[in-house]
Amino acid sequence: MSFFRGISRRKVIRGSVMGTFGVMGAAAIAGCGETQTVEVEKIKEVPVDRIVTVEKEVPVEVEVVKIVEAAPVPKGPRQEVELWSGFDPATHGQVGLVYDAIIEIFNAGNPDFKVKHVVQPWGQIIPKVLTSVAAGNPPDVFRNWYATLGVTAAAGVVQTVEPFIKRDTAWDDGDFLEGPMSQTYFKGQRMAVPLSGIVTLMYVNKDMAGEMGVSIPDDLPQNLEAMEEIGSEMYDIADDGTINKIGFAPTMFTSGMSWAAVWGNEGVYDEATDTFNANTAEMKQLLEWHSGYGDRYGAEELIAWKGTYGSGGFGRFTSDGPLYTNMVGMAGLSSWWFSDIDKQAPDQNYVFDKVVAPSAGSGYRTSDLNTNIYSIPTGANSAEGGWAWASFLTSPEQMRRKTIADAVPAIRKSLDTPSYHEASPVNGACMSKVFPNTWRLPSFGSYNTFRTNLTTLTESVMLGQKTIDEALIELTDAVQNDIDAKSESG
Amino acid sequence: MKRRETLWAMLFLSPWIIGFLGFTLFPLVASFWFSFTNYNIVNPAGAKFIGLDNWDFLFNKDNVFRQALGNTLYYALGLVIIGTSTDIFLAMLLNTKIRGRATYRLIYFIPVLIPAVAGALIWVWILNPQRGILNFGLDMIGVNGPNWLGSIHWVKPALIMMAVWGSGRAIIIFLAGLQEIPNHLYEAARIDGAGPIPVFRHVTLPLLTPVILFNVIVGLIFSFQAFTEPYVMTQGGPANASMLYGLHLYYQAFENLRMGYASAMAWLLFAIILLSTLIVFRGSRRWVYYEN
Repeated sequence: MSFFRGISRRKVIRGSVMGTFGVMGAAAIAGCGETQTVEVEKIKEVPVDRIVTVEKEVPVEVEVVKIVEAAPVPKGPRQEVELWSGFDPATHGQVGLVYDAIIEIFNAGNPDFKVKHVVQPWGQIIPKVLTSVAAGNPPDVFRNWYATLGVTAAAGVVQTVEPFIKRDTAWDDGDFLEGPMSQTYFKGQRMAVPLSGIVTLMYVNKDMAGEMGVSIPDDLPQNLEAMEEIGSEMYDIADDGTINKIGFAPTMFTSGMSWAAVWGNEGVYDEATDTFNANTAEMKQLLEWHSGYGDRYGAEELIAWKGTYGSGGFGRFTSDGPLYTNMVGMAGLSSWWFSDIDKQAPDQNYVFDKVVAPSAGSGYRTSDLNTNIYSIPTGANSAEGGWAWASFLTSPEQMRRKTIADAVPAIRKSLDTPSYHEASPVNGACMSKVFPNTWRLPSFGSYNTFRTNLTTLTESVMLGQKTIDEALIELTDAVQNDIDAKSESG
Repeated sequence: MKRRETLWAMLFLSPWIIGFLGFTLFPLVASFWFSFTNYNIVNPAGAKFIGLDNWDFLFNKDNVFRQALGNTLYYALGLVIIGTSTDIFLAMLLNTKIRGRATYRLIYFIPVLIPAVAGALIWVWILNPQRGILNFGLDMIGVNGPNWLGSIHWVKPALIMMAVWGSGRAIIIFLAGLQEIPNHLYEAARIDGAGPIPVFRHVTLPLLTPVILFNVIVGLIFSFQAFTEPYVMTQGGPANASMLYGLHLYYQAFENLRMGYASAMAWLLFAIILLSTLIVFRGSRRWVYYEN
């Protein structure tokens, strides 16, 4: 204490407080100041050869990129482009590695922009984009979906890409299939870049059929009732009603919208008048089918099975998943599932076809269509960079590279090549059998409300909690109320 | 001199005051205002005053709201009743003089230290109908365990069970309350020939009632706001059977982008919690015993 001789305790405390406030003030001033780092990269005249080979399942070869020959002159300081997606190699394996390789190719060949990939969990991307736009620091481009385009566009979270399309001399609408392109529109404006379209196919596990003593014909039946009859023989239900193996599961691994499409529910939403009406004959037939389905196999048990194994992606990235361990006989599967099955259960003997029409249905569609898209958030720092990435990714060269690894139906006509069909057997079926007849529901702000309420009310009907008429009235009211509320705030 | 002292006092208090104004009071007032607008979080300047439309929707048009409120009341009452009884029982066990008592106390407190999301994911596996350890154990004693998170009847009890597992904090508070009970009262009761149950009924429980009151009120407040467990484990399903109020509010705010409506829901929740707390306080005059 000799150091503090002559200084009172009060003075020491006062001095400490003043010093603390002084440091805090300096920190606040420093934090409020904006700093800008300008990166100027010199383009070296050095050819770059890079071949990326990933895990030996399907080697991916990256074309040699020669910067020297195609060295465009940078227009200014190189901008960082923040990209959000869920393609993490740790969880997506080869698809993630291919994605990172494509980013490297873009960065190597583009002197104006450099993509910085920020991995976000898939389920968190939309809420995080929303809050980041509200906070004023959104990414420059993010992976979006048709299903969420309406909500994000209605709220002003994403910006239109029409100005970018007009300025981009390389853009050609003819490169894209009409279905996926149509799903980038919101109220007449293009709000995204289409990447690939997800559709639903009917999967039939021949190994499980063999285990259950069921014979699968070479030509699968062309009506739904006959398909379900085969699937009904593949159930393994315990004495207490617990479903151990599920024979026919059209909606366990999808959102339920594909089944709504199969039953022909295209007319529920009228874009011109912005009105929704679920009180239709087709919707009634859909719920009647679900009610019967619940009566046949146990509504609670079906809902419990879906909750445990279905929509949550149980065991998707391991070999323990229900689709890989002969727990599912027949199922409506989104097209990306098939590459997972080929990875996790490569020896599984299965067949597939489009989902066939119900005898009682009308307005039949093979599937709903859910296009994967890239959107540029409102207020993005480098919207031009976001466009550069999105349009680069949908160029024929990159689509071919990604599609071979991802086996997701592509959108470019130029991809309908032998190598595209060889990459995954479902690609050809999607292109020829499914795409031409998919449900093209326009993007609207209450799509999510429609989807979640349809699922919940379907379950309520199956459980006998509501009648079909009550459910349809409630569905109509819930979605129309949401449409009205959003149009007031839009 | 007095003014200088006042100024210094304000200076010391200013960080808290600034924080309170900026991070508590302002958002409180703002959310009350937003409950009368169509604010969608993305465009604050574009929020229009719509009067009581949000409140009308809440009470007359939102069918999920009623189910969510009912589920939350079920959850809150179940948790408070079962949780309080269990916590008192465990606190009494942990108050007995046995070897390794400190270790047992630590074991019961560990769930409090586990992050909520991690705990919820662990319980998803514990409750798995085919591969979970809980049904495995029940199977060993000849009981057929249900599909806990997939059943409309069992999903809420499963959430309550998980919440009781994590109530180590309440156990510690009960333990402190038990240790405050004067020993001479126990001695007097024993001298009068009272057995363990009469001692519990006439000595322990009455003197523990202030602590019970505290834990009941805190338990009600937190259970009405439950969000993490249903969000991680069930997303409100199956068939909205585990859709709790907090989860429904979150979906309205961040998935439906109806922040104004969500603000109205939040204020209603505040009113419900306040009312239930006041009811418990008023009723406590009949059953809470203070030594003085």
